[in-house]
Amino acid sequence: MSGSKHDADKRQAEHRAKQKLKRKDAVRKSGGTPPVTTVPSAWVKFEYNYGPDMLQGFGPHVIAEWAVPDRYAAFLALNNRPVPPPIVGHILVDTGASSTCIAEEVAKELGLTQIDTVTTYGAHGGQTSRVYLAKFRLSVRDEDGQIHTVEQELATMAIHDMQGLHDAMGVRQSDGSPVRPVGLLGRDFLRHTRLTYHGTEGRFQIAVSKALVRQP
Amino acid sequence: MIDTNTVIENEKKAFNARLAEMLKEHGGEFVVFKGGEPVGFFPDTASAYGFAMDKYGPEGGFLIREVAEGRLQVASLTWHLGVSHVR
Repeated sequence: MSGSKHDADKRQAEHRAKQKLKRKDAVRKSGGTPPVTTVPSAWVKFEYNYGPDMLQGFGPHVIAEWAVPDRYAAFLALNNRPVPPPIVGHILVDTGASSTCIAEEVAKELGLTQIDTVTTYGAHGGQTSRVYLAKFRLSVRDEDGQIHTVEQELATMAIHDMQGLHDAMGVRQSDGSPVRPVGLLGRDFLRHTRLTYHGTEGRFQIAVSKALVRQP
Repeated sequence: MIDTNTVIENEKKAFNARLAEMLKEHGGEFVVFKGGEPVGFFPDTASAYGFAMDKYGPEGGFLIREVAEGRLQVASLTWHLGVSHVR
């Protein structure tokens, strides 16, 4: 390994000095007033506070909902059939998931139409899972009381027996109430976000580009 | 009662049998398969779904897939390795 800590410290000090000179030069060119750089806020932040034990044991969940796709809702309405209401619950943020997945129980309750199957391989061998088209929605009310919603229709693989697993593991919310798991939030959604995980403080934040956010 | 999984598996076999032919003109498009035949090609899943919903209704029995080879299987490593919740 070349260089030493002393060399690295020296290079950092030189870099900071150069930056300082650049800033002074900018002030001089602006006629004495420091330049103001305004970066418009392009992100909507969804923050969740669990406490460190809860965040470790439960994982980073966010409140989300699944609904029937628009064309399905339109078909039902046209045929005077009731449109199932959206199902709200906890979705686990899963950076290990390539795609967002829906709990099979939720898909069945919504009466979603299966459009494909996939075979996945893991610790339990090969498994066939159903694929549905569903509408995914993530909403939060900010400190000004304004609601921000991210909504996306996507082909999603169903996860078997999420509720059964959560019940068997005794997973509960901090007030002891049961958890309704509705799926896994995968990298197809996360590619549009910034994630911040504060393990010591038990806080978790998803920042979503405003370009994806729908105002009511 | 239709066993949807069996119906879709049959549509998948038909899809795979016709894939080479479909790739010539419809690579990257999304196809609806019903009754062992491609019934329409669309630019995305949502429009393919809309067509299929209007024609066949929510009872399904159709397959929607991208016309592409080497299909990536969706998966959650966490879930399938069984490590999302450990006691």
